Amino acid sequence: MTVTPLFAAVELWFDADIDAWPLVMASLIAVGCALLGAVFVVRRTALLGDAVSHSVLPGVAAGLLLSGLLVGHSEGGAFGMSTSMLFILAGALIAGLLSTAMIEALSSHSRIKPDTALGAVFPAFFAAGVILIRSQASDAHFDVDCVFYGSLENIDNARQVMPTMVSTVLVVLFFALAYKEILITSFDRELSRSLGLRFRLINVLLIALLAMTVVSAFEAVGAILVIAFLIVPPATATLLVDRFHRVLLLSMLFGLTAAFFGSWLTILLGNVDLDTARAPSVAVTAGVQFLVAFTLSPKHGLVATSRRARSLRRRILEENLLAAVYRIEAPDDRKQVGLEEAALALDYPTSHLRSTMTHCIRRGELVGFDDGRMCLTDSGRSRVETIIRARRLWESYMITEMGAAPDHAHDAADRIEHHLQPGLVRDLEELLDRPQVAPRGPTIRDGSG
Amino acid sequence: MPTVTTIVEQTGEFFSSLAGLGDAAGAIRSAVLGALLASVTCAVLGCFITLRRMALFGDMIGHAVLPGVAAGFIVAGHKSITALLLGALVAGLLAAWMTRAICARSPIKEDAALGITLSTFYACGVWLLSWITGPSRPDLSSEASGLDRYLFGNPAVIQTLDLVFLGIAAVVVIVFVMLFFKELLACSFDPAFASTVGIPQRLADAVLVILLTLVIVVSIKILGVILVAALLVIPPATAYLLTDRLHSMIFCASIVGAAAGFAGAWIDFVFDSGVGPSIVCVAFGILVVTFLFAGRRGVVAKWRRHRRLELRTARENLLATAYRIQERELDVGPELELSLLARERGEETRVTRALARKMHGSGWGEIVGSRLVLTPQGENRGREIVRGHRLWELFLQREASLDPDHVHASAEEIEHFLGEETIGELERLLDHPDTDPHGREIPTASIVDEEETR
Repeated sequence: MTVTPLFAAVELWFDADIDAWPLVMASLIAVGCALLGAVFVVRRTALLGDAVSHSVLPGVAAGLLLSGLLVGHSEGGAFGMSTSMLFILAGALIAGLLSTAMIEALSSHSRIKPDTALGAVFPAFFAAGVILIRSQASDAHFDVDCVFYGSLENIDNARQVMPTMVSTVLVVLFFALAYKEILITSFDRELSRSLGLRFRLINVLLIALLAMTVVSAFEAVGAILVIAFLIVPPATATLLVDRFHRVLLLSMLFGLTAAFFGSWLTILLGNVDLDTARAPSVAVTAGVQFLVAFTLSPKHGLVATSRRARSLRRRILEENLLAAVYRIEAPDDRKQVGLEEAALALDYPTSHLRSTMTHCIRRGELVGFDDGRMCLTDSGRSRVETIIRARRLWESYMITEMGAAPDHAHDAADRIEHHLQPGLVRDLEELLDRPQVAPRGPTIRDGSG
Repeated sequence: MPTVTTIVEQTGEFFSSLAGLGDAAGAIRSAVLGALLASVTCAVLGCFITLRRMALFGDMIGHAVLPGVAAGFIVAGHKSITALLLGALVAGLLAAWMTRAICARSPIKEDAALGITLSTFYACGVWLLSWITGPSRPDLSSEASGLDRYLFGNPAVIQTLDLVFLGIAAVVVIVFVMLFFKELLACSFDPAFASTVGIPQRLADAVLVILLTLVIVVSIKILGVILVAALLVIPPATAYLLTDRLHSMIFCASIVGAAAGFAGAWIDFVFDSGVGPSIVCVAFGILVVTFLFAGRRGVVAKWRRHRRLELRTARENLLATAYRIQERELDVGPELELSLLARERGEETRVTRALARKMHGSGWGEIVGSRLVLTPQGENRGREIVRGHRLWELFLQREASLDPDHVHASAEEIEHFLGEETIGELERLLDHPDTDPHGREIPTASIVDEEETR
């Protein structure tokens, strides 16, 4: 497949003149936030992103105020950014670092817990920012609405994208250069200390980059929606993969897909006369991606875990039924056992066991008779014997190695017998030096049959 | 900036309006009443929320009510207070349930789960709002003015019905706390104990979350979302620094909340700084002051204790040096050359002089010319320090089987903390020894005290 039809398909939906810059902006924010957010998510301080995005506000306001006082509204500056933008970035950086330092001071020098400290500091910073902005509302081209909402639609030239571009490039560079340090400081503080890594320095740099990224995203998505970019894609990624570099790559990917499909969704809805904003649409898409992963992830998803739980439950029922039949028919050989009899022995309702019985018959472990009675086949018997053998081994292990009383060993073995894997059974055998007699009941049958 | 006179004038107007005078009396009264009710209710409930480590739950629910507000508006077709509140309540509860579900059913931790529900719900809300206020629904957008500022909080738009709802929430919270104080106490401090005495944890948790949502929903309109979250956290945190008992914590928190609520309303009236932000700034100011200055737990008090200890340690070290010199050179009396002390300590005379000058404070000695003249108490203290030091070294060598080379550092630290009783105990334990591991004599108990008592 060549690339051209792909572009043609995209162009069907996207109008290059209107949609290009918002999409570029959303993608840049998505990439920078995904990388930074992944670190905070795996460090279990995800809400630090929330805190920093709110507490940069007074810095932004002070930066604006200062740039107005010192240089007026001049337009030239470094990297194509206006001077006032540089002031805003500097203010945001200071406010972000100051607020995190304050959170740390409150929680480490008093008995206030870290989460409470976080919840106390960032609203206070935010409130100070709101007051500052209100005090200069007349001449500020920056208002509180933008903090709450932001607007991707307003992005229509390279100049507006520039700050985000710079901060995203810095984030990517930082991760490329200091990947190992970030990894170690995130997962093993002790190791990082013993290696002489500067945990504090890495942390300060991360917070500084976070403050920059958040501020550059203010205009486009606002302070609150930026959390969707920071937390949701990395959390989605952690549901699917375990290795840190994969989490980073996947969360970038999810950030980008959210940006793309979110924008597309707005365009689609716009075509059917449902006008919606782009920024929340991207965030909602990220949330939907998370929900999909939450339900369908092969390892941690709702479907997979409930299926695993169901199959375990079914196996336990099967094994219990087979064992009950075995115990009832054991004394006089090949007696046919009724379902009610087995249910009574197991203390289960009969209805509970009927489908289990059908299943065992289908697997050839039981033979069912017309009158509803059943008996074990050879394969059924050997399955029961394997379990009983494992169970006896466990009981002997508990009694000889752990010094448990025989009646206590019995209860514990009841619970564990369904979980003893062949490997563990072999280990137990070796440990107990191939015992022939179990503490209770008949001889342990040999593994070979 | 307003001048002092305008501030005074405005303040006067504020209080006279409160007293029922002037045109704006009704509006101001309801704004202040709203601010007070919201602050106190949040503060009381916040005590339990912060103790259960759910401080950030409030922030999440506050943001997550937005789609409910929007949906309530769409259903009602206009800004009906009841519809908006009901929608908000449903959305908040749904978000709380979802957060719990994500935590319980996946390896994702609570902080990330909070962030996920917060941002997703909020995004849904903004999305709906953008549709409502957008050009595709002119019928709705004409009605929707101000809806997009719902989360900012604005006491100017407070209506009587809002105050009624706030009052109901306050009564519900306070009655609930009074009725179930014991149960809440157990749940907050010892969940394991609470469940053994038969308090269902899940129920307690659910009730708390429902109350939290209720309080947030009725307070948002006046305070704004982020500031509601702050009032749930800051007054309880302040109270937590001040007291150890739950009922006094609740009391303190409501006082802080009420003070902040009132002061915030007043500051807003004078400076037009916004009620919510002003309340939060005042509350946070109280928290910072408490953090710095509150009694023995305050940071300043801790720092001063630390400084005092440091100073005492430095002085005692100097006394010990003096004792060692006297012990070695028999002709040295209670008057020691500062340069001699400095050489012994391996530092410049200037540094020693600065330290020796502080001896005066504890009555251990005084500088006379180029000499430090020790008082009998000072000499005695030096002797005690060295005595403790050497006994400890011997103790470590004998009882902990440490090498004589390794015992000095530990003794150097602990010598300042060995009381008379411990030293006596050590002496008995070591059977009244004469020399330390390095072969130096262990000084006997003080003589001066005996002279003084005689």
